[in-house]
Amino acid sequence: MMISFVIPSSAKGPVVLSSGQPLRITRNDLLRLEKCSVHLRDLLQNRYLPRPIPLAPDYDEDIDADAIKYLLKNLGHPEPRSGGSGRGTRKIGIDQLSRRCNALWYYRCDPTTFGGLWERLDRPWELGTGVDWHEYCWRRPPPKFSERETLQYANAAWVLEKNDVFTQAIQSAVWDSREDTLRTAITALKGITSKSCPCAS
Amino acid sequence: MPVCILAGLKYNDALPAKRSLYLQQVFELMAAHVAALMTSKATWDIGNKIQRRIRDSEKLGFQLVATLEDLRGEAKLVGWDQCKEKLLRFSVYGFVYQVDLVLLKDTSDSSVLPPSSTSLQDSDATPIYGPKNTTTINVRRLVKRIFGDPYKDEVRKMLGRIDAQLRAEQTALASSLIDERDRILQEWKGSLQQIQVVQSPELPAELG
Repeated sequence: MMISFVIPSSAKGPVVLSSGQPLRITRNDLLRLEKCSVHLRDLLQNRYLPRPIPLAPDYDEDIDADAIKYLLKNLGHPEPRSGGSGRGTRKIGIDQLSRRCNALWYYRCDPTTFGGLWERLDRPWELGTGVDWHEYCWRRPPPKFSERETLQYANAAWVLEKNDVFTQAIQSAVWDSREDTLRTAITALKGITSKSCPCAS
Repeated sequence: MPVCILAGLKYNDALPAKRSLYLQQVFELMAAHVAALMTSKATWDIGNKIQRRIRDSEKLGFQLVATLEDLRGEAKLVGWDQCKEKLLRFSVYGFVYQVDLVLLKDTSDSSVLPPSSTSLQDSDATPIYGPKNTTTINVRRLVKRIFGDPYKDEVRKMLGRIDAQLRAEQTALASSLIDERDRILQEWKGSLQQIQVVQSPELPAELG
């Protein structure tokens, strides 16, 4: 499915067309996007690009239409905290969170205002990294989550600057991930498996 | 990743008593010390037969990886250097294992072993269990001996060093990735701040 980001030709302003409801973008929205996304700014300022400018999902980098729409709607707005109510605080799964983070990264956005996104995870995540001091680091409890989920968790923690969580997640990923199962827009994380750790080479 | 090869154990080594119980105990003992265990084909076959009892090795907290056909004939035939070379190239599901410890049942030829390795039984010593010249060995006691006196301190020191090294490497890996992200984010933030200063007075005409 293609999403078209239409540069305005009438007073009604630009429109993002998606498979569902069209998402209208006003002139102020354009300013907001330009201020918060390096990539969108470059696209908007490139006068040689044909209009409309397509913002296509990229499944290799795990960015779907929902992630792009989320980005366009929320970029520059504070992300609702989990304690709030309403549609904006709906819980999401780790796969959806990871895709949104991929979109944030792909469009080169400042993730600072998206800290609340992390709190929308739909279930508690415990990676089993609480190794007692007297045990060896490889004697961690068996992972409760799939390899893919663990990698997505690391992916989201990295983008949203959850450094402690990321450090834990990456340790788990190094031990538990045997194959390249993570699709991500983040080059540095694309090959994270046990092979990433010098100890396994 | 610390890996132990338990080599030289054959089907008969677990006889005559309840072999499945013995092997289960061996695996449990090994699981307390190593992250992955490679075995010769015969031991692997025995391991497979007790899979239903131990369910799977991951529940014991370690990985039981595939057999090493390359090790047929074992280290004493090819020498440790060649053996290690083969092992370092050996991979399972993308892992390339580095062998830290080799346990052989009954060789005393230390030249074929990595420094931290040991044999379960000196070839010219009295068998730990059972009459000499028989393969009837209580493997549980043998493994206990390896991780008990007189090797206990030596082995544990080695594993302690590996543990410290692994923790440091994992932390370094995470730190380097975080540093890379921070560097990129700084670039973007700088770029975005710049455009705000330049564009804030007025929008380009065609966007208005």
